Amino acid sequence: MTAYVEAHELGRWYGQVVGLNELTASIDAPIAGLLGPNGAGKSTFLKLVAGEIRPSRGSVRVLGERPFANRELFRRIGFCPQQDALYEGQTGIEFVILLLRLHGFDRKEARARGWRALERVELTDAAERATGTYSKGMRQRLKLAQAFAHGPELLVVDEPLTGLDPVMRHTMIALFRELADSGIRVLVSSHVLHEVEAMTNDIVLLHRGRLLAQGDVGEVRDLISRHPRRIRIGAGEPRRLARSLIELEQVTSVTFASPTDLTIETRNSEAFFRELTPIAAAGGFRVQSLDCSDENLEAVFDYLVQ
Amino acid sequence: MKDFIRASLILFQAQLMSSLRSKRLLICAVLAAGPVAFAFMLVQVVPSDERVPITEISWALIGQVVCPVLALVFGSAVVSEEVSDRTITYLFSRPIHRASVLIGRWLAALLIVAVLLTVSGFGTIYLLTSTFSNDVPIESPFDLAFAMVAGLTLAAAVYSAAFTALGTLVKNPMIWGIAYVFAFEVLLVNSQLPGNLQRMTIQFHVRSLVHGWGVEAWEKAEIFELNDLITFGGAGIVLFTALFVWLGIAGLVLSKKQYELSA
Repeated sequence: MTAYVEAHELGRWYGQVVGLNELTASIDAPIAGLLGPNGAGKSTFLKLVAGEIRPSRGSVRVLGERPFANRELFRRIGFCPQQDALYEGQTGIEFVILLLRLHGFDRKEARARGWRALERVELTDAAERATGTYSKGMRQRLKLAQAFAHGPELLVVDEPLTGLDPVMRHTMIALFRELADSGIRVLVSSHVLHEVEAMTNDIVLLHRGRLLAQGDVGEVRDLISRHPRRIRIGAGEPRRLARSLIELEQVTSVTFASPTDLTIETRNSEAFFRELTPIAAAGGFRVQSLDCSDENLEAVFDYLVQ
Repeated sequence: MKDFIRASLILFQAQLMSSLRSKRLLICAVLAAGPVAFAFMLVQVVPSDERVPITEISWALIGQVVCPVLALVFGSAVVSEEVSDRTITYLFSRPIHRASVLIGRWLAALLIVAVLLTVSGFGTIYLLTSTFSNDVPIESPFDLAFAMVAGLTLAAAVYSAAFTALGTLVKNPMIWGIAYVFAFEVLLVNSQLPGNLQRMTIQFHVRSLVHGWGVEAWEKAEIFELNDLITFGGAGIVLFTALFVWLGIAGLVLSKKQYELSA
C-alpha cells in the first residue's frame, strides 16, 4: 500500500519548546495508531498532517501533497481535532450541515450526508439539540461525524476516545474499523495503549517529540510486559502471601507498604498476574486490592528510551 | 471566484444566525437604543418650544459613541471569536479560501451594525425633530437622518474592517480598539491640535462626508467646526481606500497565519 503520510526530518517548535523533532516516518496502514504519553508530540504531528500548522523544518506530505492551507487536499481528508470546541448555539445537525456545505454540497445533499454521519455515531436523537447541551461523549462523536461526513480518503483523529464511556468507546472503535474497511484510511492518536491495540496492530510511537518506534503493536507490548513494575496488593495476610509470591521467578522484590499492603516488583507483569490468581485461590488469601502505580505510558516510555 | 462567493455567503448566513442568537446583539441593541431613550427623555422634560441642538446631540451620541462601539464589538469578533472559541479549525480544514471566512463573517457583522445604526439614528432624529426646533432649521428630518446613517454605516464598515484586522493580529483586539476609539480618535478629532493629525482618524473623514452631503443642518453643525474638513468626494475616497486596505491586511494575515489552539 502507498504511504499516505510521509514525514522527512519533520520538526516543529513553539518558541523555545520542541513539539516535534526530526521525525522521519512513512505511514501506510489502513488504521495507524499514533501512540505516546502527553506531550509526546502526537497533536503537533496531527496538526501538521491536517494542515493546521506549518513545519519549522523538514517536510510532511499527505496523500502526496503539502498540507498547510491546501484546499484541494482538504477535500480528501477529514480532521477531528482534540480541542473540545463546537458552535454552542447551533444544533448538532446544523453544525455538520454547515461544514458539509463548505465542502461544496448543496443543502439537500449536505442534509442527507449530515444525518447519515450522525446516525453512524449514534447521535440522531440529539441532532436537533443545541451542542451546548451535549455531554462530553456526544461532543466527541459530533466532532468525529463532521470529520468523515464528506467521505474523505484519510481521517485524522486526535484522541477520539477521551471522555467516552466504555460502551461508546467500543462503538467508536468498531466505527473506525468499519471506516477502514470501507476504504477510508485512519490515523488516530491516543495515549492509551490498549485503546490503540483494539483498533490496529500498526502503531507509531512518539516520545518527547521524537519517533521512538514504528511497527507492530505486539513487539511494543512485549517490551512493556518486561518493564519492571511495582504492584501494590491489599490482602488479609500480607506476610503469608509475600512468602508465596517471593518464590515466583518474575518477582524481584517484596516490601511491606502497610500492615495490610505489600508491594512487589516484577519484571514480567503479565506472567505475574497469571500466577497470582491460582496462588491466591490455593492459599485462601483474601486479595482486596491491586494497584499498578507506575502502569502509565510515561513510565513505560521512559523505560523504553533507556 | 464562484467558490469564494459561495463560501462567503454560507458563512455570512451562519454568522448572521449565530449573531441573532447572541448576547452580544442584546447588549449592542441596548447601546443603540440609548440615544433613542435619551431623546425620549428630552421630549418628556424639555418644553417643546425650546431650541435643542439636534445635530450635536445626535452626532455626539451616535456618531462618536454608538457607531464606533458597535463596529468594535462586532468587528473585533469576526476572527478573534473563532480563535478564542477554538472553532477556527473546522473552517480552516475545509476546501475554502481562508479570506471567505473573513468576508462572510464581516459582512454579517456589518449588516447587524447597519441595522442598529439605522434604528438608532432615525429613531433619535425622529423623536427630536417631531418635538423641537434645531438651531439651524431642518427642512427634511429624513434627509438629516439618512445623511448621518449612511455616513456612519460607511464609517462602521471602516472601523469594523480595522478592528477585524486588529483581531487577526493581536490577542485582545477589544482593548486596543477601545484605546483607539476613545483615546486616540476622540482626543484628536475633538481638539484643535495643529497639523494634520485629525486626518489620521476615521471620525474626521466621516464628519467631512456627512458635512458635505448637502443637508444644511449638517453643513452648519457646530460640532463639525472643530475640524478643518475636506470635501465629500475626498472623504469618500479616503474611507473606501481605508476599508479595502484594512480588509486586505486582515485577509493577508488570515491566509498566512497558523493558529496554535490548545486542547
